[in-house]
Amino acid sequence: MQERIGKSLIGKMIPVRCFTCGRVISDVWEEYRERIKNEDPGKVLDDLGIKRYCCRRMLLTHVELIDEIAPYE
Amino acid sequence: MEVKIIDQRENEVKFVFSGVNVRFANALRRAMIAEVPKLAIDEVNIHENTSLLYDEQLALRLALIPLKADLGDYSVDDRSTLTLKAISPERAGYTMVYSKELISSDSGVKAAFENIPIVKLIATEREIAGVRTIARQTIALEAIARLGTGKEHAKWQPVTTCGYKIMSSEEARSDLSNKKSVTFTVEGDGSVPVDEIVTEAARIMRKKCESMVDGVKSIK
Repeated sequence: MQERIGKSLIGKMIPVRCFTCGRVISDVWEEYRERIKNEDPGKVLDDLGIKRYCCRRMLLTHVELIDEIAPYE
Repeated sequence: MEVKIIDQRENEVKFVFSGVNVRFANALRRAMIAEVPKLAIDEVNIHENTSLLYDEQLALRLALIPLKADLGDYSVDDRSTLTLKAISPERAGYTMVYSKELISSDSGVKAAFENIPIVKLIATEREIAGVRTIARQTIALEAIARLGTGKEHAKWQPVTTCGYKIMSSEEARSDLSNKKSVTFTVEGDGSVPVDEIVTEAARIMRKKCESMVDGVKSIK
């Protein structure tokens, strides 16, 4: 079971590009994650130049699982 | 035919193309998406991978990184090698491996974005029978980049958004010659400058037309 969690197909890290349009979105992920702690996510996305809603949902809905999985590997 | 640039930014261009057939505009759009070549990682030789990602996942992430290169130096089937080596720290913690850590054999080739996280290498501390050990993760690989086009795989597509809108004005509708104005929006993925994408697409279209003319001539 642990093996299955560890090697599942769930996105463990932020996808490199937007699934829909292909714009690179992963390069701003870490900045986004830090800034939403005390800023409005929508405004942060505007500021980072992520305009389209396809790209915005990539960051907005991502759950970084790699740290959760690490102990079971 | 007239071209007017409305807005041009680092990776994006908006221009009005007037006095063209819509089918011509569409041909240009399709050429930009599927025919303009660029460099992308196509093969990955993985020497070591003890990270949390599968080899395939690692290879996919690498392939999607836009690579900047002087395309004048490359022709079809030319290859360029990039290497990547990383290890998690000696103490419990992690190191994030970024796209900037890819080392290319050709100095002209580099990742268009420096901060794309490729993989997180975690060092975990374990205590077994009173003995503390650190389990480190490491990756060592050699990636081979190849010139390709978007019709083979989206990783070779130089544009992200690439479309046009037909401008509908009263005079355009009454114009019976079928010539219209279209507004193009082209956004590059960072690997090839946008102006180069447009001109290269036009060049490819011309080449295709010429080869068709030659083909028709040879039938006679």
